[in-house]
Amino acid sequence: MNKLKRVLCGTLALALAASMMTACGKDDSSAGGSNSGATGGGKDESGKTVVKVYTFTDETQGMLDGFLEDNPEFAEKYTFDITLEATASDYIQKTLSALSSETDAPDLFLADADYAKRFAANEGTASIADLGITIDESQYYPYVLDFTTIKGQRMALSHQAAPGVVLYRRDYAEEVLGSGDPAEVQKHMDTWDHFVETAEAMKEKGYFMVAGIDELKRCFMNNRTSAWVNEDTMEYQLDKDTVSQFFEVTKKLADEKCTQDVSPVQWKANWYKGMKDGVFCFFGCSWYLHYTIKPNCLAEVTTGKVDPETGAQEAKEEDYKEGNGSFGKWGIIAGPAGYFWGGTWWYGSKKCLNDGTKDAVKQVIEYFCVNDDSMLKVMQEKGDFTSKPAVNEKLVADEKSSTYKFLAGQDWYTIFREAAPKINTKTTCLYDDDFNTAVDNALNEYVLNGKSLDDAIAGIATEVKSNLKDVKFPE
Amino acid sequence: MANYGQAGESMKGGYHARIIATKIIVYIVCIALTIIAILPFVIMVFSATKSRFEINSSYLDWAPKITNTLVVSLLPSGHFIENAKYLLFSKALSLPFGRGFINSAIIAIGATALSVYFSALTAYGFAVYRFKLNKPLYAFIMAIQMVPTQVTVISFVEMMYKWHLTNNFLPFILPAIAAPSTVFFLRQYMSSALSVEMVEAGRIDGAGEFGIFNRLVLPILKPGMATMAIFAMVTNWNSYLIPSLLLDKLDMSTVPMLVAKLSGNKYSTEYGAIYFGLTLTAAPLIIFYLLLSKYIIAGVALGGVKE
Amino acid sequence: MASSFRTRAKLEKNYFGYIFIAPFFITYFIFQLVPLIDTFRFAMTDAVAWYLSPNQETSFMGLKNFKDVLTDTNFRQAFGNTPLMWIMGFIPQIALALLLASWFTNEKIRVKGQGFFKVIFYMPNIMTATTIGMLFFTFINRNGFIHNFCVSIGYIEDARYPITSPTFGRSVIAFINFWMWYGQTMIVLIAGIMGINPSFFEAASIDGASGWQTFWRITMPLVRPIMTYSLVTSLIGGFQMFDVPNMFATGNNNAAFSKQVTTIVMYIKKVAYTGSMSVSSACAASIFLFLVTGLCSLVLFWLMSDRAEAKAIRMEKKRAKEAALLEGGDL
Repeated sequence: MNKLKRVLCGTLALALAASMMTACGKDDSSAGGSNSGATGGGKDESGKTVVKVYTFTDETQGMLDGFLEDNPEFAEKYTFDITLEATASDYIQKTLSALSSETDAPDLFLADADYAKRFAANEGTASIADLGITIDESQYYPYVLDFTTIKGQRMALSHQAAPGVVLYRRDYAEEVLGSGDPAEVQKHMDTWDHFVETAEAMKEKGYFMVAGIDELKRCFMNNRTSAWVNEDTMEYQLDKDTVSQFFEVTKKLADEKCTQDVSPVQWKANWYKGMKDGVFCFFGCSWYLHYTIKPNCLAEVTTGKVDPETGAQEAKEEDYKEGNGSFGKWGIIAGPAGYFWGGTWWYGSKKCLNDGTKDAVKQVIEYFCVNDDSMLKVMQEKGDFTSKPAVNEKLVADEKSSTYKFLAGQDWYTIFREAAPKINTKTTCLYDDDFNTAVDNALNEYVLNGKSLDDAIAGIATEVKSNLKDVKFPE
Repeated sequence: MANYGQAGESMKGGYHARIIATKIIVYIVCIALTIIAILPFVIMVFSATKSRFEINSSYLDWAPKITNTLVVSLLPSGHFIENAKYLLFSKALSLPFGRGFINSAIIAIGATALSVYFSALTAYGFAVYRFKLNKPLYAFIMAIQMVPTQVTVISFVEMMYKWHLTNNFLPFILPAIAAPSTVFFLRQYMSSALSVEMVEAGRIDGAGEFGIFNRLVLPILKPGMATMAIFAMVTNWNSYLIPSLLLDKLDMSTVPMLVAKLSGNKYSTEYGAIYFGLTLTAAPLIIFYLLLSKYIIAGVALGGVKE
Repeated sequence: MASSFRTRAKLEKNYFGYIFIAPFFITYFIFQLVPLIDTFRFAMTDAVAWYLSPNQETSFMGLKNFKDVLTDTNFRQAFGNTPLMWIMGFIPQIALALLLASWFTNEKIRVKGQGFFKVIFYMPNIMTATTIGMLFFTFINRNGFIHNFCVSIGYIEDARYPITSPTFGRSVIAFINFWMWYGQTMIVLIAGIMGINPSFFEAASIDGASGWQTFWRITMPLVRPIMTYSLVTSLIGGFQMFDVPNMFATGNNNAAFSKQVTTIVMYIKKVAYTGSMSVSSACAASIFLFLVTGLCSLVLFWLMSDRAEAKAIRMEKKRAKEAALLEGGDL
């Protein structure tokens, strides 16, 4: 029995010691101080009003820090309490459950494209008008606004538009297609037929066209003629032609050994491996250019680790030099079809209307999503692309930046400006996140498990049927 | 007996050979099973010392083809500390495993303490007092052992939401008071360890009923309670489903929830770091187990023969 | 005098019994029974998750949810997967456990290092199931240990492909269950066999019964109640399978065979907390889980326990008689 006691005490002591060690370490590394569990509208130790923020991306922390620097008066009155959850399904559940609570609800919260509409439709979300924000709707790309409009009410605003583009290896293009020039390469990639032809040519020389079977998904799915669910009738709608084309092209690429992996690889190790070598093109967008492909094309970084999304922080500026991985060998083109990838929408909760943080939320959203001057300033610094065409006209590619060198001297804004108006806006519904998973699984069944095309596509409806009870499916 | 001895004598040669052959088979099987039991953990620990690239590039020219994978998996490398740093401190991942251990410990210890104490109390109530509903209520406890706990998960979670008990440890600690199988075990245990005379003696000394239980009975039940405590600890430490539905603050996550986040997270592409995380969560349990294995194995044996 | 005092004291204090057992029943009522009743109640409404709509008004739907769940392809799939994966793991589990138990208790073989083997075989059981699930998922992923091995033996011809076979996926999960539990079953069986009166074995030995005969005629019938118990608890656990397969089918861990390893509880969780968050349908599915486990347990008990016990009792009598005869003979 004594031994038992000793062991139990020892275990406890160890657990405590370990946690204290990690806790100390954490304080040093992230000064953010997230997850303090404070209540929005409450006061912190220095008497400032706490604005509670929920987010899915660690970009938010840096943006809000910049905002405070730029608005010293605001910083005297308010402080941010930021909660970060990067996994989509967890973030959705966490945010929806918090919104139902009178005490725990965030004042300000953000959403990614896959669930922007869901958050907009939630009972706990305040509309833009409720927050006292007035906007000139004609100034925005329509897709940015349509995304979060519920019954005619604008529920959220986005600071960015994320037009989809294709990033490709100039050196491979030169070897296989004869020229690495963007205009020339675009000619080989402007339709899906040309795309497949190029893929076969790439294979001849031992290069993979794309990294995995999920690469083309967003490009195809954004070009459906209808959303998965009709907003008025709540009926299931299937654009079978587009989905079939997506499945067939992908299977063809997989069968012809034109994909590096025959499985979904986005955000997985092999995806990043392909960015370093061996894969010809990646489907990306504005933020993807800066945070995903640029740091991950490097073979060596001084910190020893490439951090997938905040790579810019962990890969030091001096790492960005030619000869390191595939840096400087990339080009950017519009690709076979217009599409978008994500976006970041900002919402105020109903709670913020009454807990004394309404003005703070309003100021933040206006700073990032309404006010042209501040938008220009923020996005120019980040090299990112805003939700307003007029502001984007003023953005200039910084010729000294590593992104400029990464693209071998190409101005990325020209391509974004071209691509943004082409975005199809009518393909979103409440349950895009659920449909995304179902499409992934159906594609797996078709490409990997030998199901027929019709059966695999029919599987999409079958899969979501059990958890979308308010959607009407054809018998 | 003489008969038996003679028969044994006459078939001695073949008989011994057979025994030895069986013995060899037994040891081969046992050693193979030992390897199977340990191998995944060994690969896990060695993989935790590798960088992403070492895990990716996995062919050695000098090893035979079939065994290549195994050899590669069992070669250690020097990136252990680096993986640890990435898992615990990098901005991208930084899962609060330290807090996770504390949270799991709070839940496991709280639930275990309640479950063991109140189960002993309940078992004692049934063992010592002759009240009218003794038999039917005890039969009820026997029966509810068979109700699958997952059946009520959804309505339990809904109820906790309604009561605003999310992000709170109470929903995992309080229900432990009602642990039918622990009651059952301790009731069995009492029938051998506890004598009614002792209780009587306590009464004659003028002790109150609770006094008798706390001061006289509990010390006697200690070994049985310790056995149950170990299992309750492990079960509560490992439980995943309900905590994952009711705790959504990262700082309140339990260890199994953090494990699930290792790759449910789009940032985690570092296999080395994933293996390190798994090692980190497995190590305390392995140590705990090896130190207490004697009690645990004995407890499993006791628990099983209760039928 | 003393005796009557004792009885009286006992009688007077008997109401304490209710006080002692009260906390258990109150807790059980609040945290188990009320949710159980709620499960039935929700299943007949159109309730959605509370946090999606805290002030919802639900309407009575009768048995519609039950009908929907029964006709749902995903539910049927989950309902097939779960017992299949359980039985795939349980058969080798009980077989190996029985074999090891008979070896370890065999006086003639006298296996050395039993304590060590028991400790090692039981070890996986104590580990966190999510850790084990995650570990094996990482193994079957591209560049994982199992995937690499499949490539090296030619099971996967093109290394670009992941492991896709549903049978393979189910086998991995069944293997994990087997691997985590055979040690436990073995220890329980050893305890059971050791508990058998040694005179039975002696008697059998005197009768000239072979090891095999002794095993089937004496050991098996007598440990059958323990086996029934193992079978029933394993079955209940099997139907509730969640932690391990969940690691093969959620978030980034989406194996090509994820649909074929989805279990009932995974289905319930998904219906309740994704998409339209239909708690009512999830509760209807929970009730099917409840009924099926209950029914299976009852059938198993009836099939194995009663008849086997009767047989064992008969056998015991017979042996006792024979033993008595033999003893008499010796005299």
